[in-house]
Amino acid sequence: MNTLPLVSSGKKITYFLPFLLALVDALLDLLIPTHIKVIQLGPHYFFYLMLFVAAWFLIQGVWAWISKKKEIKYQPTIKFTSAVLILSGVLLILTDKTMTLPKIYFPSVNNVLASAVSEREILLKCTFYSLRLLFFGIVIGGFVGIVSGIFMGWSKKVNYWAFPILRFIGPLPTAIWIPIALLVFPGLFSASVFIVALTMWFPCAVQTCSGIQNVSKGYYDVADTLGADNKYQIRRIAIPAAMPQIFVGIFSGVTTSFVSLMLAELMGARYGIGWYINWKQQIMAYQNVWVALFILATLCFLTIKVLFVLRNKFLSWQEGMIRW
Amino acid sequence: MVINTQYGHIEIDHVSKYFVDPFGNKVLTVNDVTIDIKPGEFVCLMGPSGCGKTTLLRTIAGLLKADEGTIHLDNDLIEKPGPERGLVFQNPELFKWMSVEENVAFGLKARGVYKEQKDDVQKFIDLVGLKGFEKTLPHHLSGGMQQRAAFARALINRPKVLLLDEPFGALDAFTRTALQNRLVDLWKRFGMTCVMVTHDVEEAVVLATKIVVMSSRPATVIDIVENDLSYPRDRNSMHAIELKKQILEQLHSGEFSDEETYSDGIE
Ligand SMILES: Nc1ncnc2c1ncn2[C@@H]1O[C@H](COP(=O)(O)OP(=O)(O)O)[C@@H](O)[C@H]1O
Ligand SMILES: [Mg+2]
Repeated sequence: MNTLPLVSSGKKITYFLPFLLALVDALLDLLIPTHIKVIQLGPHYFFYLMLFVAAWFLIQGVWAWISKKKEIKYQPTIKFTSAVLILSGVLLILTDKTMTLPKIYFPSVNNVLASAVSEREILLKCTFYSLRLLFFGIVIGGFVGIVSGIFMGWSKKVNYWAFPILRFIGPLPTAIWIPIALLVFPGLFSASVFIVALTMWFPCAVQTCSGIQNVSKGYYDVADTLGADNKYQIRRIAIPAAMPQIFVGIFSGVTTSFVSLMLAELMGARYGIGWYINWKQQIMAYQNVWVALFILATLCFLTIKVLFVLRNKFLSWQEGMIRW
Repeated sequence: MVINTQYGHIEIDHVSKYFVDPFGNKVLTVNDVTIDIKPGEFVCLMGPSGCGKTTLLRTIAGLLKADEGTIHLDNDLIEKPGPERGLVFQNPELFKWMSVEENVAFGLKARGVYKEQKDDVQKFIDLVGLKGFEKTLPHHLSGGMQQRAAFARALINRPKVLLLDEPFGALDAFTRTALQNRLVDLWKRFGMTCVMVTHDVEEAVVLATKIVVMSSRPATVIDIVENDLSYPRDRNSMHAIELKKQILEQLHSGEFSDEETYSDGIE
């Protein structure tokens, strides 16, 4: 009954590497004096943050040590988190401690955290505004994109008239739509939603259309001889068979939507992450820009995570699908 | 030993079919074919590869339109596909996002009779020998099992006619024999008319009540051989071997070149 252990006990020590690195980062901030030219905007948030992170990874490490299930999930993430923690420490030394990097673009890490704390209310509001805009833009653009893609992929007639328009409109830079959107839509919000929806619509329509066109003809032959009418075939064959490609469209649409979000918020919005970044950039408050960029990246990451969960649910039938 | 004498009567009457090649020329593919297929018969279409067998079968299915001539099923002109004519291809074409059960249930759901005939799904899965694989996705099944599911999917509509386009062509010899026997059982049980395209002379001799020998493209009927051996048939009986020889000779006489080779079932 001797089976080889999946992970050697020597390796198990590495489960505490993130914990140790976070601890080292905290100590770096505590023990090395801050460069005299750094004007501190608040307490040593980096120190406290790293203490918190260390505690977090201590729990993770112990958990993984005990539970096989946790171990399998936790083990592959160790390398990456360790690298991030090392980089954080290096960044702290290059900014706060030595000011080696150009200080305007790379402000003190502690000051970035301090401005995040002091502006938390407006940042929260901006995040909410951006999320609302993204939500409506992505849902409307995605829906219209998939539906128009289905019609273009299914009907030769629709395809004949609509595809050239799609081909023309799609590649146009989003910026040129701003004046038109402002003119056509009653309010700023609807105009911004239009801009985001437009960038979502194009890849969704193109991928859905091509997905539907690439469905194996044999499926339709079989369905024809089984007594399925056109409507039934669209619902039960064309759409599910095209689903992998529809997801490709959704993924690429969502990622470009984050880019057009910035643009949409430049049309005169009052709040929003894009608006915030633009404002802080103009007054050269780069510590705030960093905070906003970090929030934006996190939102993008989480959205894609949600999409992967949805994809795994809907496309679990795919042969050799890569699970995320 | 035909058990059904009421429905599934196919009259192929002077059917011709053209395709248009990339240069715009009409290419005659099926040439003036007339076959009378009686209810409950098992007909095998044989002929050189590319001669137009699939084209003829798809025309019976209603997936293609005859350019000349007509095909009637029980006195109704065939113009489009319908659930009374089931189809099984060499490639099983199972809907890969559906489990075996969902694939088999497809015809019932598409015709809106699923509620009333729900129990048939399990029945037909059992009939083709796929019990225990109801929830399995197609890509987890072997080729032979996929083909079994395709048979259940086609048969659940209780078609008057089952059209088969080299359904066992991609299977190994052992699986092929097993499925041939299963097909005979199903045919006896349901009494549908079967029209099967095959390359395998032995298969035709073992299965068919009538073998249609066709020429190279454009496909014309060279001969129609009646085969009234009783089932289950012995592949190695004198009669079967004689018949095989006769059909092989006829097939070769209808060819323009001798590139074509026919499997005699021995591998
Ligand atoms: N959709 C089509 N368009 C043009 N030519 C076709 C088409 N389908 C089949 N053909 C041609 O018709 C001929 C007969 O094809 P097919 O019926 O598939 O032959 P078989 O099944 O006997 O091997 C072939 O030469 C093939 O290239
Ligand atoms: Mg063929």
